[in-house]
Amino acid sequence: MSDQADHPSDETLADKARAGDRAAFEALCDRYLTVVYNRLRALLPPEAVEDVTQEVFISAMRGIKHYSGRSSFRTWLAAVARHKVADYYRQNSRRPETTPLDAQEHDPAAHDRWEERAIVRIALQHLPAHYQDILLLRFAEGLPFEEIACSLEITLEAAKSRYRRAVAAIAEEMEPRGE
Amino acid sequence: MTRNQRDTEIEKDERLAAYTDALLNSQAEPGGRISADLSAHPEEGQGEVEALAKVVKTLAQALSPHPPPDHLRLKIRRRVIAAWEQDRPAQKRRFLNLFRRPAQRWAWAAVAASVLIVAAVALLLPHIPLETSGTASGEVGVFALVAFVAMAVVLAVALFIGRRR
Repeated sequence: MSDQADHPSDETLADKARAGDRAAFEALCDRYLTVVYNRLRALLPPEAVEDVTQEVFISAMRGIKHYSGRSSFRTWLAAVARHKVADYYRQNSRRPETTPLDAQEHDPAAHDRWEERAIVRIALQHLPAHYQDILLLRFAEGLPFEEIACSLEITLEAAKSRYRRAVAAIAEEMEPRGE
Repeated sequence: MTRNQRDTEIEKDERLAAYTDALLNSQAEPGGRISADLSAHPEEGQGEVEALAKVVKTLAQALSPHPPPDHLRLKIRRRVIAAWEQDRPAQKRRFLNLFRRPAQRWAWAAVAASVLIVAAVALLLPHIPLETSGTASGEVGVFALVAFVAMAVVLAVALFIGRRR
């Protein structure tokens, strides 16, 4: 009982937030800020990450009444983030991505890292959602495979199989195209 | 898929997952451990898993998690508070919202006036001789009629004024 009081479950906090408890929603924000932030770092250009992170939580706050509890709160929040990423790219499709100045001029290693991140980011966007999710869960969120399986409601064997197929799919996307 | 093929696929899944875990736990040596792991079973898709291991290494570098900046946490908190108050007004604001529009104020005035009229009639009625049908329900009927007429008149005036604005 004291454990539950100290660390209420996501579903308990979500229920309270739906009932009008703002502190419960803020607790959910604190709990998932790092998760959402790292997801968006993987999917968006660096200059967009902070703004879209804020938009995700505001959107989650407004949509919490629609959270039915059928999926985990983490999964539901990931779907909100996915929609916000899609919105961002719809609104910014014409803006070319530019290398940050420090990466261009001063630090070749930073430039290489920026380029690698951009290649991975573009490849991720082309993956189906279930492949994208499992890669983000493992790398951006750092969840072990057992927790990934639990979160996705699949067996551990299925999670590892999906993971390998996701890695193969992103490898194909990252292949340079054309000669 | 034959049973052997299925077992091979599961083996590859396990190997890649184990390599990923080791890498992310900072235990894998770049280009070393995975080759050693596969050397015992060279016939079991060593090339494929090794190739994927290189991609895993790239993903681990590109997608490594970072803590969000402190100012972002504060910004989100402020925005959530502001948006929460806007979308879910406090009890007091919800109460005041009942009087926000002129038509609402007139309607509430009509209700208050009706209550006052009914109370006044109730207080005066014992002192006013009324010719009724002689039953108690006659007095209640007068109450109800007076209250209804008063409320209807004031509401009609309120709505009329509200529409005119």
